[in-house]
Amino acid sequence: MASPSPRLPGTVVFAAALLAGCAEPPSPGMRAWTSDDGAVSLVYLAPPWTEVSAGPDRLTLRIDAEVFGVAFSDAPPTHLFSLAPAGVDTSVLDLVETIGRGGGTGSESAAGSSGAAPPWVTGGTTGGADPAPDASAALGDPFQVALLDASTLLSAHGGKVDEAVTRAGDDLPVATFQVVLAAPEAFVRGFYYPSARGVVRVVFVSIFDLRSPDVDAMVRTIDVEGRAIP
Amino acid sequence: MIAAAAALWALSVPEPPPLPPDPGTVPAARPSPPVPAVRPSPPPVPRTPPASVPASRTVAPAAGPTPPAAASHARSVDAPASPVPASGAPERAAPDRAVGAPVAAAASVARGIRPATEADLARDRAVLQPPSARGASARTQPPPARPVARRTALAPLPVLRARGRRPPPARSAVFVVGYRVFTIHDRLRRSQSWHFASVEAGLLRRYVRLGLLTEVGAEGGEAARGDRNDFMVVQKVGLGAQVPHFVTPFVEVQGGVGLVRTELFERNDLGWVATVGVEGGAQWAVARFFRIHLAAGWIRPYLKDAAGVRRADSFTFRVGLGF
Repeated sequence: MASPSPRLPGTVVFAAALLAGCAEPPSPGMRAWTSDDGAVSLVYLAPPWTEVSAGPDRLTLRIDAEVFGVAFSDAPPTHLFSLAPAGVDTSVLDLVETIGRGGGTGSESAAGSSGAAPPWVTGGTTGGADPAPDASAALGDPFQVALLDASTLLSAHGGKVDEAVTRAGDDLPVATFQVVLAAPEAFVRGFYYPSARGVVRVVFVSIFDLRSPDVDAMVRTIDVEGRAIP
Repeated sequence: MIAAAAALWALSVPEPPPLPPDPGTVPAARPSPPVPAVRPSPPPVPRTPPASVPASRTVAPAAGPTPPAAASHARSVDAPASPVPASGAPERAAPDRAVGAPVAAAASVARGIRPATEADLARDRAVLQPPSARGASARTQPPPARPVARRTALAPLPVLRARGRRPPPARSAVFVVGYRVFTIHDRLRRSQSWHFASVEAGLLRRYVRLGLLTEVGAEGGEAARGDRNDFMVVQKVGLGAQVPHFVTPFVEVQGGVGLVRTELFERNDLGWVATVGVEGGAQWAVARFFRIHLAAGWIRPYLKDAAGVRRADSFTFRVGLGF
């Protein structure tokens, strides 16, 4: 039996070094954010995302208007992202007003001021009677919070439902919807995760359609107490 | 002003001297210089020929040396009175050494053509004889063969057609139009397969392989967005070695730079791309002007955008048609 070549160890070392070099490094600009309690985490790309504010349990991002690296001065951001607990101190209306440069306040363009969700908000997902969002009970139920936000947006800015409030995953109690506002013209897509301390609201606001692979890929990186959309 | 200067210049230029006449011609405008009479003109010959003299003296004997008496007689009859030919050139050979009839010689002299002499013929025979016979003595030397006219322009040769197996190609294809594919990941860690249309121009195609590759590609796979796919344009240079035959194996190192357009969250960005790679494969000469190109290898694209430089390693495959 022939003895192994004396070059074999060097060849193995070289091959290992080559394979190690071939390992794809992480993409530059990929940022990870984790809440202080570690319950919520997220991975996003910067650029195009720019951090607006960050807190112990909340994060706000934006994408400035640019084409091939040239920014448009005095132009509103094309995308806004907010991750925060659903509480009384947070509202999706602030994000919409940021996209619309303050155009379309609640009192001016309200389609209805009763606060009740229109019957088409639910999209027939609940079946039967139209549910009326209960503000007191909404803080613990992702679907109730989603219904309340959609109703508030449509009541304040008008528009239509593009994707009714549905379950994001088969086995996940995560609610999602998308509405298209009339004034200002904007898309709003929300994801509502249950957590031990209430509902975590994740909202995208953009002048573009938010049902895109990029948004889906970013949403898949959100982890709330071990729950993530596959 | 310019015209006046040109006219003055034309008047100031002296008239060029007249050119000398061409050899063998007589200028018509100038009279011939007076020629001194070397010998007195012979007495006039009576027109009635004697019985021993042929009636026509203008026909010379075909062969054989002319007797001096007959030659002098013929010259005295047909040659011009002046020993200087009409062309004005001095007579350089004795008339009794001229070959042919004196009448023909006189006619040639009259036309300005010098008759061939024995010296001229000897020189021609020396040229026409083979080198081995030149050293032989004149007695043993066979009579010179008559020069044979030969055709120097050959008729077109028939087209040669190979009836058997065609020879193996000595070079690889000049152009290869191909398709390349490799898969990397985009910035969101999604699978991103790149599909390229490539055109390769071979600069060196024998044993050293040098080519220019222009590749245009678009993304596919999970990261693709239909009509808004990312695309890339890369100009590469390939250098390698090959063994040209019916199946030409080759190994090539490739490198290039280009531009990449990416879109993330509906924002367009323009970045740079640089690629390095090693490729090996073969080119099959299906016909004389048609090849099938197959190659596989490793490629590492470096993608630079606003976020930084990222790289990826991938297996690449290329198939093409060569011409």
